[in-house]
Amino acid sequence: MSPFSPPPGAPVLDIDFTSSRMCNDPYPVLREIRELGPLVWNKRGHWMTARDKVCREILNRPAPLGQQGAMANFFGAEAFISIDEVARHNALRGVWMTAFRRDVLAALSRVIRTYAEGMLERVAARFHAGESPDLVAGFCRPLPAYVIAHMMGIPDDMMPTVVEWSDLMANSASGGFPIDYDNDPAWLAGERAKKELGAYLYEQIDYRRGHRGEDLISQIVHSDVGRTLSDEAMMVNTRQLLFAGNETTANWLAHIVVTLGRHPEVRRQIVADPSLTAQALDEIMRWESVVHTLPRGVRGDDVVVAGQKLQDGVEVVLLLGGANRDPERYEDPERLDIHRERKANLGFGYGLHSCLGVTLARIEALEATRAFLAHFPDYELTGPAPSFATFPMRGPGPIHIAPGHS
Amino acid sequence: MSTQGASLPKKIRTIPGSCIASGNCTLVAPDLFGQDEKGIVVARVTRLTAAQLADAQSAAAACPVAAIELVDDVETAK
Repeated sequence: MSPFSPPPGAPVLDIDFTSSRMCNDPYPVLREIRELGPLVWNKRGHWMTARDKVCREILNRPAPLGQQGAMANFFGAEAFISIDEVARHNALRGVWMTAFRRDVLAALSRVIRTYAEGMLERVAARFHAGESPDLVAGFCRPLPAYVIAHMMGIPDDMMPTVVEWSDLMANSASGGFPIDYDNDPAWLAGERAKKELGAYLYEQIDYRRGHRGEDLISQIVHSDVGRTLSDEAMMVNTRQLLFAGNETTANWLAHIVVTLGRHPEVRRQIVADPSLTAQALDEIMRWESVVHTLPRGVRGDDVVVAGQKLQDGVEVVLLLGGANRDPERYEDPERLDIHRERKANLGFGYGLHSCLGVTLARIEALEATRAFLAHFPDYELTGPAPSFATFPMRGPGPIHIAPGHS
Repeated sequence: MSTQGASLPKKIRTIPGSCIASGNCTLVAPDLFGQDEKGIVVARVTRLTAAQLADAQSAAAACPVAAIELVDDVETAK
């Protein structure tokens, strides 16, 4: 249990991030936290904030408010996502800076479209055969995995295995907070998957040494910084890309399908005017965030956040879904409004550790949504409402639809 | 944009509301871009010389959220 306690007078709540309430509809609780104050103490031993401004203030100061333990435990200490020292972080992340440029990624649109089309045709064939396929398993999850695996030069026949490893890893990261690293079965299953994926990536890294390609693995193996890295450092950096490229986008796509199913008026606007798609997807990211919790650890004795001094070592959990509905930044924030003034929400993070793959994710979501609506322009959600298994990385479970006239 | 656009000088336009403070622009073109105390993009120059153009284009492409645009500098062209 956390050795920390709140100062007298601090607002206190007891929030269980694993409760079904937080998984299924966290927004009333997030609102309560946001309204109680800029920093609210969770009886489980850490601070929380659900305010946009405070999240930005923290994310803009990676040195005193770093990723600390949780990210390193999950991704590995040498993965750049875990590194708060700016120069080192940037040197590693810089390996893939060109690969994730907008002009370079634009060339991938066609590949993404081809994967999406293939998956949707298989989904459509199952409808024709009288089945009711789950769109998460048939479309939302595999698409980003195939795309990032393709970028890494992983052969198509390995992709189902890669998707499985990634799923297990995602599940491990989405358990309770703080994680019981010794006993939590989901965490331990995730650890096994990480090890297997790691072993596979070691082979891939070794192979790339003699077979240089255009792929992301070749790029790190043959980079200046890559040549100074241990095999393990190279592996954890590669593995983080694969994972980060999968889970977040998969959940975003699932949110998009559910949200457009529940808001047919929005869907009809996009179908009639596809130029609205990108802004609609951004708004869905704001309104139904994927990454809900970002833990940050305080380093040092003089760290002040929102006017309050915080103890060395204490964690602050940024509640991004709450911040994305902060009325100080968004007018009428609980409303889904694809025509609202465009400004960056915190869905892709902010600052040093903001998402490297923002542009890739946006291209994927755009291509996926266009292909999906071309197949099923007037689909309807059917069956029980999709369930949400986890809060920290939140996305809807099995999705079933009536396909409409395709 | 007109067909003569390519030959016109360019100036930097930033869109602070879109910025997520990734810092990519300051890595690619530190002479042209900085960040304010909140991490938001600040252009250090407005009108670009021919020598600065390539760096500015790289920074615009490296921005993950398209918060940097290079637009025709009609005033200087006159």
